[in-house]
Amino acid sequence: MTFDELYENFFLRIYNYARYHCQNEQEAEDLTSSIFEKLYKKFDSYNSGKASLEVWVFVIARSVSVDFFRWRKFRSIFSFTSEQEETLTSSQDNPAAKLEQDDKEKRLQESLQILSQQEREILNLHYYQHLKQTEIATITGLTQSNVGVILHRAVKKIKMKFGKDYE
Amino acid sequence: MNNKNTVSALLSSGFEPKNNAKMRIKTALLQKANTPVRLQWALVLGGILLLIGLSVYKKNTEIRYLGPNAVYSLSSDDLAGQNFGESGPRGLESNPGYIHFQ
Repeated sequence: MTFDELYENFFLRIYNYARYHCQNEQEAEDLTSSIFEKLYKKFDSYNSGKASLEVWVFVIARSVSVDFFRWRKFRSIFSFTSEQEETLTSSQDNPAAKLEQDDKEKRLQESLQILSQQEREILNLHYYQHLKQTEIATITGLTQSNVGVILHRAVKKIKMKFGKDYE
Repeated sequence: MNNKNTVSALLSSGFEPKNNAKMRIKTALLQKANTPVRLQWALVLGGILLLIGLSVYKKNTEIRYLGPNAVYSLSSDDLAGQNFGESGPRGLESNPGYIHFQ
């Protein structure tokens, strides 16, 4: 696989991994960019015998995001842009689809805001990236049972907050 | 509707990148990848040297206090064309002046 192919296959997944952690799109794009920079530098060092490509990619993504958030406070001192900026959507020619997408994303963002960083990460890796609990345990350094417990608690929190909206 | 399935669907739906983020990020990535590492380091080092130079320049143009026996005076060049109120160190706000010891 070439790096171009990796970029095409993983862009949306990495973007969502970043977006689950971040408060807004701009920050998610910055984090996505940082993750792909690291992947580009380390691309030649990937060894398929040690781990699957997915696990390797998300181990790197996790390492970059830890550094990213460590420096977030420092960066915010020098930031002159608003945290909540209005952005154009890509489906401007289909307003109904735009509204539906915006509504879904708004609900998702509201759900994520009640969770910790760890819970958000594990939910993303399980529900969006469709990784197994063993793979998530490898990426995060947690035990498999711990991953299961965190998943269960996080889903319960969301159900308690939004469950009645779906009745 | 089963709440768990709905929450699962919600979490699986994800976010759509906006404003051609995919293209923009790739372009920036390629630009950075094509910039030689040496040039990147050169820019960083140049920035640091510039900061040091500015700091030294600023220090050299500050008025220095050299002790109670030092007398600050103005040269005749400084006096020409200038309008001074009181004499003494206060007049040095616009001219660093010359220093001589009694």
